[in-house]
Amino acid sequence: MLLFFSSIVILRGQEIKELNGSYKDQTALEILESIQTKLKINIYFVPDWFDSKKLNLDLDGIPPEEAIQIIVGDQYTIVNVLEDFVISKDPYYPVSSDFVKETIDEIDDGETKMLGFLFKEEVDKLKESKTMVVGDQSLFDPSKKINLSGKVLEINNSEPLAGVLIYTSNNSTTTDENGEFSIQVPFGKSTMSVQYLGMKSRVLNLLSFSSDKISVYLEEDLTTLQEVVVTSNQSRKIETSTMGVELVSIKEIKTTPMVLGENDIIREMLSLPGVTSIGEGAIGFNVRGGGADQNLVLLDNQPVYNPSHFFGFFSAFNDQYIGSSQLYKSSIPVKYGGRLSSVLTVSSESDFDKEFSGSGSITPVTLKGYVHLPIIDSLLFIDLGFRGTYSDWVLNSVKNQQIKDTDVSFYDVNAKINYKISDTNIVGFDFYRSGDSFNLLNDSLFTYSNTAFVFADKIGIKDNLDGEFSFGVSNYNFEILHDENPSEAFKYRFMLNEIFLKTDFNLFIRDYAINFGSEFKRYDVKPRRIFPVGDASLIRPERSETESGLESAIYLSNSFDLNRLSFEAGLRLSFFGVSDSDSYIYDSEVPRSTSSIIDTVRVENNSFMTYWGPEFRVSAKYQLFDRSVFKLSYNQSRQYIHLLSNTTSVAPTDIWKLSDEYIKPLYGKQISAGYYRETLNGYFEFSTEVFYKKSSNNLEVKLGEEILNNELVEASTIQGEGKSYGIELMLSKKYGDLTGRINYTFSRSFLKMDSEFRSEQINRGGFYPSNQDRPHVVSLDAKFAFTKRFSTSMKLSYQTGRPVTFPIGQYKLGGENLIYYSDRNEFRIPDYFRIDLGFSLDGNYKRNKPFHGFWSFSVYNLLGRDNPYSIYFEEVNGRIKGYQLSIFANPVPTLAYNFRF
Amino acid sequence: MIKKTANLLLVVLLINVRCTEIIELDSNSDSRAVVIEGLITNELKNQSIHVSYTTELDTVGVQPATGFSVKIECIDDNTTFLFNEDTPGVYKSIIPFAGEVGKTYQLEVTDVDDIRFYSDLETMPSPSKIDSIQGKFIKNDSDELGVSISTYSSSISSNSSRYYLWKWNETFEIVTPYLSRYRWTGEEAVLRDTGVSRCWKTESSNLILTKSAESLTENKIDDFQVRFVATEERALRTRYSLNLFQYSISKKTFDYWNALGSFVNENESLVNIQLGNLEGNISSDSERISLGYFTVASVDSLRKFFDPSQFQPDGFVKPDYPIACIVEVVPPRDLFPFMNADQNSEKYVIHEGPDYSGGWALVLQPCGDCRAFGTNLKPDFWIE
Repeated sequence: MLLFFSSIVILRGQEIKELNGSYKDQTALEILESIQTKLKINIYFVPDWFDSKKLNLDLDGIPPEEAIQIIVGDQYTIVNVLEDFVISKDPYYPVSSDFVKETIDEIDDGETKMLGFLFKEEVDKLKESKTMVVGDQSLFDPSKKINLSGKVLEINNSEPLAGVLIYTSNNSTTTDENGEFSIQVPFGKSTMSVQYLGMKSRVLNLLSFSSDKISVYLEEDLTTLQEVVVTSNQSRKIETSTMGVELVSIKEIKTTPMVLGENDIIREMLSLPGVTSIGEGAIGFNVRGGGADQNLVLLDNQPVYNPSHFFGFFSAFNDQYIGSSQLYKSSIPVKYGGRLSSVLTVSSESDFDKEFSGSGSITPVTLKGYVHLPIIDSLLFIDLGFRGTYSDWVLNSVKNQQIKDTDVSFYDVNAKINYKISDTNIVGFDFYRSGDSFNLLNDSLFTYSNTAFVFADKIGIKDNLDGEFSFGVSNYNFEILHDENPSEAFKYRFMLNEIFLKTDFNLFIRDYAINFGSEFKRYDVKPRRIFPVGDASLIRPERSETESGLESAIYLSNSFDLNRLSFEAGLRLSFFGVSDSDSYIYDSEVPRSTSSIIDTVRVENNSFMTYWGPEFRVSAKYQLFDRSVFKLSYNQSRQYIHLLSNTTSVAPTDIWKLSDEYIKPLYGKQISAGYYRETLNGYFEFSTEVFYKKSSNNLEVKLGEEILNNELVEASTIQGEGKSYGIELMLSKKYGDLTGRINYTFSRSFLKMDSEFRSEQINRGGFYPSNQDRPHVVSLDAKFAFTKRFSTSMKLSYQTGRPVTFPIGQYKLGGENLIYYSDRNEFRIPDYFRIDLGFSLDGNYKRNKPFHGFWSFSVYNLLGRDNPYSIYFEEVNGRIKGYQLSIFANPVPTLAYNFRF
Repeated sequence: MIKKTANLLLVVLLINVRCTEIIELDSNSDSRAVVIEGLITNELKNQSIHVSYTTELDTVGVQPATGFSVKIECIDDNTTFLFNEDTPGVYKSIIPFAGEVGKTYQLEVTDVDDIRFYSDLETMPSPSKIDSIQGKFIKNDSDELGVSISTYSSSISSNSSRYYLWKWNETFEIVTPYLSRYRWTGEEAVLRDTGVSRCWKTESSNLILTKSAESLTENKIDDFQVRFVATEERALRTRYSLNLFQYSISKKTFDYWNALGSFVNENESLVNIQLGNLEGNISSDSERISLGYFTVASVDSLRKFFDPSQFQPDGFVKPDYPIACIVEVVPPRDLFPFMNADQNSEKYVIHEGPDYSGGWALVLQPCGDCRAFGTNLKPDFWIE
């Protein structure tokens, strides 16, 4: 604490002040006091600095500044402020912001207004010493906060960077999609860090007086492998009260070790705490023990129902096109809803100022590219992305006949047109399509596709109010063509269509940041379309009734700060109506089945079965110390659409089903708490989060039930409660030649399927580990830069094996030897462990070179460990044998070439 | 149909990076479950119910459950059919009876500890008929050559069940390459009075065969393969006969057997079907786990004979006899020591003698005596 004595307000004289007289046996304090009185000036200092040593000084004729210097000694700097003097310990910039604040308060008390505080020569000196001067000294107004805004750009092509983390000791923010940011900085000297994964971090020394605009250029860190895909930014976590948000930038994963050269944003998600998958190459991901259908995946605001290619080996997103992604796993913003576990937003860049540019990559599996086409300078641009396989060629060159007979191909296309009508009105159109086709062993042809588009209009309505209106469609369908036997040749089709209309507003009133809006989604699900193929086919065409549902929601949230405490409180009200079709009434005395139907109800048109409910989402942050915070959050969500699966992981043939009279909506709530801390120098970050989740109406398909050709879903499924809990720990190092991150998660996930009927229970109605239950997960990412151009990275991943139902005996029935199984998920497959290694060699990297290429080489599963993907059992000569299938059982080396222009 | 597609579809091979290996199974359980397999049909006979226990993973064979009491009740006429244990684990009705179409039955089994297992009420569906059984020489999905035997079936009435379950018994003839004219008594060779060069071997289906005509325009099964006789099996060397039993079952029964079959046929795939013990229609008073099913079905059966010659025009090559056979000639004075020599690792039978090229003609036992493979008692149904 600084204490000042300047109790007397001194009327300033006009004459030149100089001292006359000498001082004997007086302390420095006494002499200073005496000078103050004599010269009618104020001298600011900390009394504790000076001891009670008696001084004998002759100060006759010496100007005051020199005199004070003599009194206090050379270790202090004397600063002249108007006609007053400040004694400071700091030789360069003498005043800390706190000091200034206190000083100003003091002067305000004395009804004197103080403008400006520094001295020209000091400022000049600081400018030379690489300090960035923010604002103008003359504009300094203590009553105003200093707002530093600007843009972060890539140094070579001036391309704006979205999602760049910027933080000071007190605040932090990230750049928006145009690379723009705004942050409050303290008065005077401070530092500001600018970080972007895949780019070299910068620490700026600031000297701030008033609000200003700056541009910060970052240099691409091509030579260093950004193995740490997601540096979970504590600072970011420290900033907002939102919990459990993880940011992944595609830039940083460009040099991560990868399978077959495909950078995969979903795969990278798996190294985050709390995110797992059922197995290598399994479709989808599981967040905090939730099912894979409980994640809302949005690509530029377009929902994507099957975000993977070829089972789950590759994600359906072209890494050349997309920019960054965010995963919300505990406090989900109110504007998102409809899924229980998480929201994954994947965004492409959107930049009006970017020049013609592009990038591409050639990997063993795909050819892909991205191009940015400015049409009207700063007003209209088009972005295009494409990716396609040439894997058919690879498969055909394999000697094995079975593999030869397998055809696999996939592609995805992205397009974006943005037009700036005015500075406050931007319209955009986004399109996405992904397609897969595989013909397995010449038996059946399976194809699926996602098609989506969205129109959006972003408008700045007022200075403090902006809005976004969007309308779009997302379609997912798959088709199976089976024509081996002409008399039974058929085509099966599943189709899901979603039309959505959204409005979203952000309003800023004083310190409140208010977000509100509404969302309407119409679902049309055509679960079962069967067509005979060829004249010889005896298959009866079938068209199941279309299920239609309307999901709507209104929401409102407000975030505000109370000193060290920040709050974000929101409410989402969601409604769901499903068109009633003819339905059955079942005998309630027995389990639902075809034979328990007692009546059929024909419904009138436009009849609706409805569900609704509130979803409260609250989070709070408390700043414990300078760089450590504590957070608490509570989150509720409701889900009205379910994925029907009779397999232990998601299969491409799983179908979506809307909630209806019998299938109740999923409901979940989660409470979580976290502690986040940075070490003083910002080198290390530590965070921990604990969570407890409960859910109800989790849907399980009964054992042995079919899903594709099932008319009575309600008779083939059961619903029950779920719970999961866990603790996630993470430590990361962000700077230096060696950087990296290690995290450990302990978590459990359980389901409970109970019923009065034994056939509708699982494990006699008790809790059992869900397929996602992975108690211990450790992941380590590290990278080391040997030189600027050559670096290496390593990734280690360990997980407890997933639960599995195991044979515990055998029996004979119907002439066959059959397996007597354990309780559901009573056993586990062996633990999973994998190490990957990556190397990156950068080409001659010169600034402003028009074309830039670099090589990356990686080895996936370096140790060649046979991690079991699945386990299956067979009866061989009356004995039961178990087999494990490993997907990448050998080290998989990949060489990829990337380029940019 | 669709299920088959899904299963095959899931057998995915991604380049050649995957690998399969055997894992150790040491998960035997101490608790054994009761397995009840009941099948009654509209055929008048001593109906039988099989009861057994589950066994350990590496134990071959069935462990019969003895000492149970078994009965079936016809709910409609309130009649009870009692069963007696015929052989261990096999319980036969004391009197022959036939189930009646449209009538409802319930099975009740009580174990030695007086724990009662009882089935759901099951109604006998209308029968269907087997129109024909046909065989054709093909190369199957696994690139094996052999004869595919298929059924062509259809409904009898409009209310016939659309759900089918098949079982079969096959019988094939084994003819040794050499005739064994003499029998060795241990002392001397005597002329045989019964032939041992023609035998018959009978086996039952070991696959659950189900099919639904639910999604077909007609209630009709065309060309459904019930048995693939691979050439390598050597069952079609002389004459072969298949007796097919076609059971018309309810949808619920079909769902059970069909799901059970899919569990068994599951193999290497990227997507694993959720495994577990399929809930049948048998419950118990206690916590005891009971497996199995009480099937009530109307049945039709048809026997069909096949000869290798009928497939030869299509390229069928008659398989060789399982072992190579040559004649060894032993001088008369050496016959006694030869036949009684203990050190002979292989047993011989006498083909001809004693004047066959100056001695007794001997062949390896399986080359002259087919009882190593089957029985030499000709089945009643056998038609030449």
